[in-house]
Amino acid sequence: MAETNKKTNNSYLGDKVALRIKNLPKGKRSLRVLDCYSGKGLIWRAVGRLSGLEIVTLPIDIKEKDGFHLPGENLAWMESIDFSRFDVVDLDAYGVPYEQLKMLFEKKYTGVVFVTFIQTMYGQLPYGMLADIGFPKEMVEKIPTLFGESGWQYFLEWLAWNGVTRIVHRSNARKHYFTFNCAAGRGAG
Amino acid sequence: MKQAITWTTQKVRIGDLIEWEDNPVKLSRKEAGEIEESLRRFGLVLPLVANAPREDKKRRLLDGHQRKKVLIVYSKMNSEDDLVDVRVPSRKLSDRECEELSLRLRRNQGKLDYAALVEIPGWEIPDFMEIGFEEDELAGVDFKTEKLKDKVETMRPKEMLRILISVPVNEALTTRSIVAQLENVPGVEIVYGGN
Repeated sequence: MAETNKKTNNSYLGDKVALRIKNLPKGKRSLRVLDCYSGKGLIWRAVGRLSGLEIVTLPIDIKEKDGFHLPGENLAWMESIDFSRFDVVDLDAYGVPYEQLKMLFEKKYTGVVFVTFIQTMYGQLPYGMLADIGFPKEMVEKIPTLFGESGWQYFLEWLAWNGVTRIVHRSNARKHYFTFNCAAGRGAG
Repeated sequence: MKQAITWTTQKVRIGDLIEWEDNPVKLSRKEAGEIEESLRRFGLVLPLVANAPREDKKRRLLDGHQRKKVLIVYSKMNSEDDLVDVRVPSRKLSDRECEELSLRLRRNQGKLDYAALVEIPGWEIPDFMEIGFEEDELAGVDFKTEKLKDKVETMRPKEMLRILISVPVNEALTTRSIVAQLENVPGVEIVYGGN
């Protein structure tokens, strides 16, 4: 992490940790977590400390850092990973982890997912995501501001199209921290 | 080749320590208070650092400008004859060496790992703030303070046919008045926007 919080994505660290603790899979003393944007692993270390559970993470991070982790693009790793080995997949992204979520849906993951969705200042959303809910690229390019203003709503619509019926979230402006449970038709929240 | 330098700690008159005029380190009132508190609790743990004396016995201060100020302003050290521990070199350093060392002593230090900081047992966020850490610095590792509330969103997939109606700006109002007639039709959602 940088010297101050100003450059990091962790200014709502307390909320991220609380969201996870409250929505962890129930009835387990030990959890296996695929941490796709691990950074320094701060969140899950805190979750472990505060929940008293044994948290075993497989961290993926694009940046070079000390300690064991899978280095590089998480998508490349995720393609070869057997998700059924993990109770939780964490997508604490800097933007919109559309491709990563899409992969989870395609592979029919059945655990708990934690996601950070942050729309950039210009509000650009992935073309693929908008196309999935009926907005072709040509339409988006014609009036991109439309999608900036309602990005979160379109994102929820996209989640619904992928079988997610309920999420628990904590939101502030363009930052949304949320979770859903892929088990029971992805609707257990 | 320049002679190697060795350092010893000596008692030096505080009045003989001359501050570096261009010292880029500034001290806020809050920081001065924190140094004062540290000096009050633990004393002068690290000696000041100064060059070898000039002909007039004055020495250029290389490190500890802020502590010297605090010692003079806040402590009982109010006489120029008061003695203070100072690390001094075995030979006189050039101006350039003085500047380099002053900057190195400030800069060439390990960086604080804030994530590791909050792992220190028995220390909580307010404890760190009491000794001078800023709220901003700690926000990135403060995993206990919650600022947002839980909300639940339930969704169901919509089957939508998306139609984009794009018109020149001078026709926008007319078009809007026509399209608006559909607003109350069940299942129709209209979103307006402009470029």
